[in-house]
Amino acid sequence: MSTLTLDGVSNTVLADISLSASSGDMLALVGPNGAGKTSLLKCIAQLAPYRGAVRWNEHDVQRMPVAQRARRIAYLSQNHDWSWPICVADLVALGRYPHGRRADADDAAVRRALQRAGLEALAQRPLNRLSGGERARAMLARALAVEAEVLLADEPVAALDPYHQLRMMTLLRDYCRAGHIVIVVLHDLTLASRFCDRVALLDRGRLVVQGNSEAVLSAEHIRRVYGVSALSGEHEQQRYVLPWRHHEPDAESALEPRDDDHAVRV
Amino acid sequence: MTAVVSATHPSRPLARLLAENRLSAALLAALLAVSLAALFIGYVPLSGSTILRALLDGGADSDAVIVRDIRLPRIVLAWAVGGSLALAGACLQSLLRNPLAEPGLLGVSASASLGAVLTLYFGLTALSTWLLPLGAMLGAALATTALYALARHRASTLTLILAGVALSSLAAACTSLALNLAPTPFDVNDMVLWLLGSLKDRSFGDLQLCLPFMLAGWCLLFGSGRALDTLTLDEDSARSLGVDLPRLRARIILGTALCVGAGVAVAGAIGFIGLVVPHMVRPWVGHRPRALLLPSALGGALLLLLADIALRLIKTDQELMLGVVTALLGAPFFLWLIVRSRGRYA
Repeated sequence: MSTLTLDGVSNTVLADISLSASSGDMLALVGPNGAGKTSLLKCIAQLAPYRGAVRWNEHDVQRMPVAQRARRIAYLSQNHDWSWPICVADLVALGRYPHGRRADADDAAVRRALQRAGLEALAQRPLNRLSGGERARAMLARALAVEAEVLLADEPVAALDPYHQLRMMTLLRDYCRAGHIVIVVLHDLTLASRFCDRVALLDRGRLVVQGNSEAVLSAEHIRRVYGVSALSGEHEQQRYVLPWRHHEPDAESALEPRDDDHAVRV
Repeated sequence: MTAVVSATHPSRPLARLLAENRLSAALLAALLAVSLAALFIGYVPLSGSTILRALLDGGADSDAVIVRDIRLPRIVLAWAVGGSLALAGACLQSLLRNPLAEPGLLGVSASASLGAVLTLYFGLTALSTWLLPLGAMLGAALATTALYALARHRASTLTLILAGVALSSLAAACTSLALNLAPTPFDVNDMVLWLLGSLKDRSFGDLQLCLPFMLAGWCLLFGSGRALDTLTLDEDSARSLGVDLPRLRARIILGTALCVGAGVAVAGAIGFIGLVVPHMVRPWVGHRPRALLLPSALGGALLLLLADIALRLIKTDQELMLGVVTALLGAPFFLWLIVRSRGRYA
């Protein structure tokens, strides 16, 4: 059982963010453009400077040896760009870099990652001969091959068609259910609501509210933070949230969390 | 990584492993064969037995001197310089994630050339012939220090490339100034001939001077292969895997400076080997940066040796200079690459 804790994380973009997640938690970071979602993910992955603390099982991640940190926390970038058209198996094997050279363990981990992402048949295919959806899965498999306790995914479904969006979210949830922490940045509120155990809503670098999706993705929060009205309902016992009409955002109220926001924090 | 692949798909990766080794073995065999042929090529025709005797028994007759002190150092220098340039090119392309990168890009070659030209300009070569290569290495070292200072402060790849372009321009301008203000036409002639690049009239003394620096550079560059593999992904992803990017950049820059500075010091300015060879090799190694290094070094040695043989075979009133031949072959290739990759690397 591992726990990831953020305690007062601040930098030029973020202001005093405190969160925690434990093994088996899937946490969505949502918020409008410029809210600080990617910045927060980069702070957790130690890719951006910050004040405050990120702890993994009470160990300060900032003070961890780099290789140890890289083995604990995997990062799936929003950028699916590649420099050279290596084959999928070679791409996935890059995920084993933090583990040093352990051929047998690496073999097994790469096989598992390819299997999880459903890419066994494409293992030898070069990256320039993959579709956008296949490439996104290959990048995810690379992150899965790290076999880290924490997986950070930055907009993994951006630019994917609905089929691949659902497939990608299912893969992330399966990884989470296998006992890992998954933190995922999303713009699609329905995907956040359906697939994630908890949702953290950010706005202008601040954490507005966090908790279960019903409490966080309320019509009031969505109106205040996004400046849109939203339709919500249930289908097959799962909640959907559809942004419907845009309004001018209420700048003052969006900046400060309201008192009743704390009631839904977990 | 090959082991991983082989477990995943036993048949094809095994074939690839063999193909990779075959490629290096084939390049090595070709290099040895061409080197042997190069011993026969020159103004004085020599028989096989004469060459063999000169190599094995020594001797002080003119044939032995031609083989041991003229042709052999020229061949070994072609290996060292060509291999170093291509290895540095392969590493730079992988580090900068850009197939248009080559050792000249970071301004190290131009700065080394400037150092050598200044040595000629101030007539320091009259004090000692060793000062010419030392001047070139000093130029390379200064350029490297400037780039290293940038790399230490988390400069982006684009910043590094732009800094390299600026350094190249500055060094080229200073070189032109030195040529412009040269005291005598003889000095200009010396500088221009040296800038054109050549392996002619080099000795094992030249090799002794450059080899320790090149060896240090090879160690740095060959040791960076695994980290370079991760730069197939974007820089954030590579860092998230535990790669210390500023340190990797510093290693590659230092390794490149040692290899290119030492190469320019003894052979003058020879361009495009570092660009062309990695491109020729890349498809044969599955485009993997680490697998590219050894075949690139062998291919660079082979290509430079072939170019050196070609210019000896082409009869002209004045012997063609090696840097001119490599530029004539390399520049159109460079343009073709730019046209082909237009847009993708914009």
